Amino acid sequence: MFYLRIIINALLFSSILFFPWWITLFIAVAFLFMFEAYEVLLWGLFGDLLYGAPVAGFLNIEFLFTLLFILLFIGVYFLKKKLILYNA
Amino acid sequence: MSNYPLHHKKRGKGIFTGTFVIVLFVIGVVVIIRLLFPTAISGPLQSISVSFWKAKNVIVSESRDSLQLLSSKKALVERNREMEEALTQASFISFEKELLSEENIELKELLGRQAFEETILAVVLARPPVSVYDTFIIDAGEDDGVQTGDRIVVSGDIIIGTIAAAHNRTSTVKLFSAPGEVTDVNIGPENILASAEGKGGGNFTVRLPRGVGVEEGDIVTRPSISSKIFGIIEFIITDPVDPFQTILFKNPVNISEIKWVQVVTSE
Repeated sequence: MFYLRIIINALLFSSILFFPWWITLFIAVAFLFMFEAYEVLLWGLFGDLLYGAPVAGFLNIEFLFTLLFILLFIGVYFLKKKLILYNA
Repeated sequence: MSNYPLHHKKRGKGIFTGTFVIVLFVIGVVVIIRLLFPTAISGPLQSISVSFWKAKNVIVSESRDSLQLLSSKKALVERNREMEEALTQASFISFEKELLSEENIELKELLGRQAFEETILAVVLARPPVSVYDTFIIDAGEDDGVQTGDRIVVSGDIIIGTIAAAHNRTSTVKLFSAPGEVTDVNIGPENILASAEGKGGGNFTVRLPRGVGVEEGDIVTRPSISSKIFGIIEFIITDPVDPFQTILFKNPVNISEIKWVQVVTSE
């Protein structure tokens, strides 16, 4: 499982650099469901530091991915507590 | 009746574990540093990523060339013929454009206005939809003379954005079409002044009173001595109950396929 975690981290890094943002989002959500993936928060920050710019449509917030991933982390955490799959 | 589940409810760990708090603290510190020193962290990160982006561009380019070899000979001959015809047509249009451009410069000189600009050619390293912000990353930075606010043009005539942040060897370009961005434009042959709102991916909308003389295919430019093409009107939406019409236009180039841009460093 440790090696799987490393592979998914490498995949997230590649996705932020090369793939559309929605693929990165998908991989991050899958990662959160598979592990308690604190790294997802740092990868969100990485994406924002690379591409972030104040955009009027996003309230000039340059840390959209970071905020989104924090919310996803919290959301998936509480969702997993409700799912039998994680509480069997 | 047994209340076993009630009395023996499993207590899992809360969300605010030590690791989570530490990660949030690190994120907070980095955010504060970024706000105080905008280029302190982004610049080095982009510099590190440059090699990966360039490697990817080379691999994609080589793969495309290799895939061409798998096409049938007949398909390649047909495609070659189509490209030659398109090139011939484009040459005529380019020649005509050059004549008009020279005439334009001469007329401006007669009126005592001269428009010249210095540009730097840059490769696009990352583009939408990789970036959710509708930004580009280009391989020209402060070391090359790029400054925040410099305009970005494609093919010399089509303006698409400005430099949002210039680092040492790379720069972040914010496109005019970024969601919510408002840009003043001139529409159509009558140069009707309006405010265009970006919708992302090279798309814009403008609201004008119904009856204003614009048509699909009209050119949209930016108010400037050296008018650059901003977009082409694609669709006009009118509603009998609405006194305004919604004009949809987009950049004439496909944002997600741009490989080279020019940075206008002085005008």
